[in-house]
Amino acid sequence: MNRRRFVQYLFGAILALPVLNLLRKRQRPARTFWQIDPRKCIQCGKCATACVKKPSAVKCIHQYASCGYCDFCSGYYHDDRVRFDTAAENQRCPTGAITRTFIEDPYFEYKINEELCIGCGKCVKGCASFGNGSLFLQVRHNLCLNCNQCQIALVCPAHAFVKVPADKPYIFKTLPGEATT
Amino acid sequence: MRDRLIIALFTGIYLAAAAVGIVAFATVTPSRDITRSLPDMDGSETRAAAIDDVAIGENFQRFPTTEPEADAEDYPWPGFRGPRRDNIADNAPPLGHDWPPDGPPLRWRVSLGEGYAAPVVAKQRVYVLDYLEEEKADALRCFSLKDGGELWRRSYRNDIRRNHGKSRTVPAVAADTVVTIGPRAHVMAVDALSGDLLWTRDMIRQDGAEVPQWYTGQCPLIDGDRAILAPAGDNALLLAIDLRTGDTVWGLPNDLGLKMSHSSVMIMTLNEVKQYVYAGLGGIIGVSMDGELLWSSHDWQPPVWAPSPVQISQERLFLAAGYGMGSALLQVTHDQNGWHTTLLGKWKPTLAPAAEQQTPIFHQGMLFTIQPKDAGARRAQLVAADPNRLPDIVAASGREMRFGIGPFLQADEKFWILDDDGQLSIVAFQDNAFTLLGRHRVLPGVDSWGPIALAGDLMLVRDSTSMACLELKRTNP
Repeated sequence: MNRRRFVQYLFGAILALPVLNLLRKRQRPARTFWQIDPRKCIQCGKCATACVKKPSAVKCIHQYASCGYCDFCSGYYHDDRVRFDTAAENQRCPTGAITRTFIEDPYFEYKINEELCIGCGKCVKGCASFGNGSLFLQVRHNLCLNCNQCQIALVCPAHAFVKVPADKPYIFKTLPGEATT
Repeated sequence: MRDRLIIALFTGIYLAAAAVGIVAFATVTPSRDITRSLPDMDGSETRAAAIDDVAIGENFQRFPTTEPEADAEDYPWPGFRGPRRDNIADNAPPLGHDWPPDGPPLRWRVSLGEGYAAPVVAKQRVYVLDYLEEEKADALRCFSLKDGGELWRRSYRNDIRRNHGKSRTVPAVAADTVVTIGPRAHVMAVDALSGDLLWTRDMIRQDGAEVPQWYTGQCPLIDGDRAILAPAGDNALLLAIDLRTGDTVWGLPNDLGLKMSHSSVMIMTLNEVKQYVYAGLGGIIGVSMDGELLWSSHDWQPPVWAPSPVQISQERLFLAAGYGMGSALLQVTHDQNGWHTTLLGKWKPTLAPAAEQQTPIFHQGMLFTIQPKDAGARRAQLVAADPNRLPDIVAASGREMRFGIGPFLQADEKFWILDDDGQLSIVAFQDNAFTLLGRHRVLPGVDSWGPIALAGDLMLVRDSTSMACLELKRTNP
């Protein structure tokens, strides 16, 4: 190899480096997040206590499309309620994180205040027992530290914690009529 | 000297700490981030009780359908839970259950408004209190049992919004009179053959009743020449109405302050006294045939009560309710001092037979029911229990046989059960075990929660938007 050829190869390699680097990045495994599969979750309450974040990064979310907007919401009222009104003693949520608003007869809207929600899942259990199951727990990624080993996943008795791709970080329930995947 | 210094030092520290505490107590408000949760914080004070001017039975429409043959063999299913309100079809002919994969032959199917209202059958006619979505009207529709052709309908405008469907009651038919209770407690009586309007009653306006959550679920009772209604309102708890004229025969004042439930009035003979038994919100009552309150019990008060009480002996009633309540056993006795009630037990649905919507069946000394969703591992299963050994469950259908909310009846020594998605299961119970004899999808839709009716070998079932007539005639001997 003469000197000219050597310099040509050298410059060629230098120019190819950024392209090779790009290719290497593309081959990296996609980033993943921890998430709760609501079909497996049994609302054991460990999400509220096992998370390294206090309060937990697990929150109740509300899938409005499957909510019945019921007057009697079994996610909102606990089993031993005295009356059907908004007094604290009638609410299932221990932190009062669910607000109930009258829309029009006979519909009420239920919203989750994530600052108050501790991810205990009591409302989720109530909703699943009698209602449509529109309340369920999810890891909120704006709060989650995405630990290499999620501490809740370690203790989850239902093995409901799964890794999901970053471009689909939430697992929603299938609505009636929707195709399952 | 040294001791004095130490005492002074500690005294100073104590005094300083006390001063800091007093200042902090006066200036810091630890409850500043606490929000009070009080009644009526949801804006529902703006919710006005909907009392509209409803002209009950105002519209009538007749269709060019051939009238049923007058001399055709009649197998009536005249009201809620059949002829004896027990959901047992004693007079059913032998029924088949081994059909091809596509299920039993379909005689006819008609579209209905969204709901769970179930049909009754008399004189080859099928009656159902439907909701007409376009007209926004309750409509008593009369069909020919033979071919499903509509003979006539009597309706009245009643603009209501969907609240888990709209229609959900079963009419009562006897003595050529059909009595219906609509979603907002409008009572209508019409001639069963001609559809002529006989009388009406608005239990909200006239009796001070309140429409329960998800609209009225109470099914009317016809006892002889009387219609028995339970408005459980400010003005009346129980009413006996003359079937043909609509005149009030007697009314029991609501001194107990009960509210209307989804439960229906049942006829029972307790301690050899025939009586009406009604489970309202706030308590359960027994009322004599002439309207006298015999007894009441307030020891078990479900906030939502749909299944009706089931008599399991001369002195005992089995009570069940959904939404976490489970079941209870009530004893009603009678002696020279009067009537007495004792709650013998109450159990959570995970421990005992229970029911969410459908009333259990008491057959040959055993209690059968579909367990509610909150019954743990046995949720939505058909279970059997010996009433003398409650709360023990003798048998359960198993995890492969779940039936959702499960309307079911007993005929030809089998249980006929619909699940939520329109699958009809035929289940036998023998030697304390359930056996699945057949299972076929008979309805295309969802929420097939309306009670089943059986007229001979024709079974009437419905899902949320249609009603079908199935031919169950046994073809193989």
